[in-house]
Amino acid sequence: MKSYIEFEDVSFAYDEGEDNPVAENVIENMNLKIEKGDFVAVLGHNGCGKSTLAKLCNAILVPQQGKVYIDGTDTADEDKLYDIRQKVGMVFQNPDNQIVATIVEDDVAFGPENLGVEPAEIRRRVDEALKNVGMYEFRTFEPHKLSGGQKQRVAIAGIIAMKPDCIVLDEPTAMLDPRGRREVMDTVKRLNEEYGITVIFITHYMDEAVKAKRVIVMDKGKIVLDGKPKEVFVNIDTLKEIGLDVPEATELTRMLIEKGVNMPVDILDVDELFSYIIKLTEEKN
Amino acid sequence: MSISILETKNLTHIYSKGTTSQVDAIRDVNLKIEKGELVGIIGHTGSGKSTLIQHFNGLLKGTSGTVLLDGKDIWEDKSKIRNVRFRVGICFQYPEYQLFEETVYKDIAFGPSNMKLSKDEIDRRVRNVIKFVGLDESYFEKSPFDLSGGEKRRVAIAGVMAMEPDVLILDEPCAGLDPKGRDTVLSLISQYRKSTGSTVLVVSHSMEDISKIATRVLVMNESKLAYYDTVDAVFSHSEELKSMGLNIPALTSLFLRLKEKGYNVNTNIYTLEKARDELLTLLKGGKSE
Amino acid sequence: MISDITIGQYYKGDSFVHKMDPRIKILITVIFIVMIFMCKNFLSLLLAGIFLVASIFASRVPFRMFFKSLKPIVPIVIFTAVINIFYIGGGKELLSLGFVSITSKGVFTAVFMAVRIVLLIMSSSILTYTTVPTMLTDAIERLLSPLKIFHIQVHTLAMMMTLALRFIPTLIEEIERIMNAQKARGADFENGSLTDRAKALVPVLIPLFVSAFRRAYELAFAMNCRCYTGGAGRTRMKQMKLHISDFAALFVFAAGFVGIILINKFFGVVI
Repeated sequence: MKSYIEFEDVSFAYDEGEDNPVAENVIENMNLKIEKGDFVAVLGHNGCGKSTLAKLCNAILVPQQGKVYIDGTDTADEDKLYDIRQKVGMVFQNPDNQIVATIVEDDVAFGPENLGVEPAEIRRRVDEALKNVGMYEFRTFEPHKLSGGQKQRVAIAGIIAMKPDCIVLDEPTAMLDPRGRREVMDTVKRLNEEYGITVIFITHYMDEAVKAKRVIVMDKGKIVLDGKPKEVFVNIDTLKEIGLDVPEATELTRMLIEKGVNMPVDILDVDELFSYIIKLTEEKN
Repeated sequence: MSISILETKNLTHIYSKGTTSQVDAIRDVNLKIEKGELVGIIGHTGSGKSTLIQHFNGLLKGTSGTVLLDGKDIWEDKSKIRNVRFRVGICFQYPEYQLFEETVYKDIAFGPSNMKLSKDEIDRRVRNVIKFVGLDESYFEKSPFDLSGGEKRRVAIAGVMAMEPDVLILDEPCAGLDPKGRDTVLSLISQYRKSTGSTVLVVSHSMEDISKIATRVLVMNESKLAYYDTVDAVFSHSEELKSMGLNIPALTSLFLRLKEKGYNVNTNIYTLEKARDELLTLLKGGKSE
Repeated sequence: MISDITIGQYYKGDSFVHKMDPRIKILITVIFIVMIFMCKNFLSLLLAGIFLVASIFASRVPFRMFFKSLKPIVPIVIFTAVINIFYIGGGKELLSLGFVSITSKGVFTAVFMAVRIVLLIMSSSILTYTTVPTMLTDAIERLLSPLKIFHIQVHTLAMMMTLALRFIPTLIEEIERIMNAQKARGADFENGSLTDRAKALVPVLIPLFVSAFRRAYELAFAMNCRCYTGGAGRTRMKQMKLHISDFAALFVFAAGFVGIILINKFFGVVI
């Protein structure tokens, strides 16, 4: 039995061209298994191959070497292209450039319309999807009157109306303000927890990756770290070496341990650190 | 006594009714920014901060009130407003989208050429400014469209710096950059201020970034100036900031919470080293109560 | 300002006109426009005017919205009126200024043309104010679908229209943003000769095109990911159904059309 998403020894390079004289591998010999219902954050700096990884997941790109399987289907199988794209939906960075229609609900309907779903069923799905992302009362709005976070939620609704098993979000929060980032993260988390939708969340914000169930850290086309957030973020040196942020609480904890304070290394946020310090001082008294 | 380089008196901007776009007006802003400060401007989207900064270089004119640059009303002579824009440089959000020239050199020279400077002076400025943004002269003949995202951003910032403004305003200079790119941009801003002594205003959503580089913090809330004070003073109002939908730096919040619990700790803490030392004193000294 | 442009602006409402089948609305608008140009005397023009005002009332879109839509075309109206005043001869001579003379017929035609243009714009505004843009392009697609036999890509054309309508506000915002950024670098759009001003637009147009191409590329990508393959096999959430009221409205306008022909016949042709 295969996992929902499987990368088997995948390598990928963009075509040689004017901008890209040497076709270097952007993804190199990657093996990866993602189970249904998981929430995976992919963390890495710009150019580490994380966007390419996303595009390999729904057959926008097909690897030159190795195989990518989605629910057992090889993404290189061109007859199954639209099955795969229906199963694995994509949300991109710039919310403006993925909204097609001039009215919110018409945009959400775009995907199901392309799939040839019955009109009454589309209506049902659109309403449900908009309610799921908390945008139902904005259904007759024009997209350009919405905030960035709201637009991004409409884009997510447009994907879930296609009833996918999995959503891949390629840096969906990079262009948003803190409120918009929170809105998107909360929405995605809820879709994962309540509806069991598999989520692949690509980001360079460490504080978002902390909220995932599993974190994959990429560098130079390879997976450097892979595990639960607590397992990944204790590797402070590796993360810093590739130019990524480390949770301040984790780093502070390690600095205290180095000075002889006795505490666990895998403290990820300030709340945890706060309670631990309270505990330490109380023990002392 | 230092001179206020930028001052506003009862500055108000009310948009006319009926405009459809999202409006963030400003009301009755009184402000004195001293020369050489690095001011962090915070406030959530729609609080009026973007509107405020566009008044500083005369892109917008207040419906009432005045903006004084070096003590002089910037609208005193309407025909000279372009000179104000050379003295108060604004670098907008995602500035890489304003690049248009064939080469990096020409693009950086766009501002100085609009100032009608001599060719030699323009050349001096372009060569000077490329160093500030951590690039070198090998970039001059490249097309700005061939650069990486972070490099484009830095070339765009250089284009504003090349006007050698007395006040440099950057709107979200780190938006969309990865952590490495963000650190580079933040450090080049601090470096620039140190070596030129100019006044710098930075709009940001990141309290961590602001607490690390700013000397003062300006908080906008619901069209009004909520605070303009030192970093310590502003972040000590954690409750008020939260009610405005703003956070305080994560580290600082740790110490504020400890203090609330009755521990005797300092709360003006923004760096890891200081946080460590403060916690060590707390844990080893046991100075609770 | 650019933001005054009202193309494709939908005015929310649930009036009778809003609920009409968009295909019928397009047909009626076409009929009405032909009507305006068939008007040969003031009485027929008055009849057309009554039809328009009645439609505006039925749409429950406030009148000020229509004045707003007229604002950008005021120069065109004035221009055509002036041309007509000076170039149409005949009738009584009212004023003579050496080589030009203003005649009663000229003034008459000028007023007539101005009213026609205003009616034309206002009638098409009713259509766009009461119809969601996607429905409008959908309706155009369906009305033009017979052209498919000539191998015309009707669906593609309609999709292009939808996307254009969708991106007009986005690009307007973008233009304002870029202009501000270049102004902050000392660009001057207001002063200088015409060539200076045209040159000053280069720093706006290049980034605008670069960004428009990037948007188009990303959009095409996103549409692909949402399984868009063109018109074949697509369904629509919003179905168009003809109601008796649609036919009634069509009938009323057809009657108006006949009315104008009759008025022209019995009350004489003035123009």
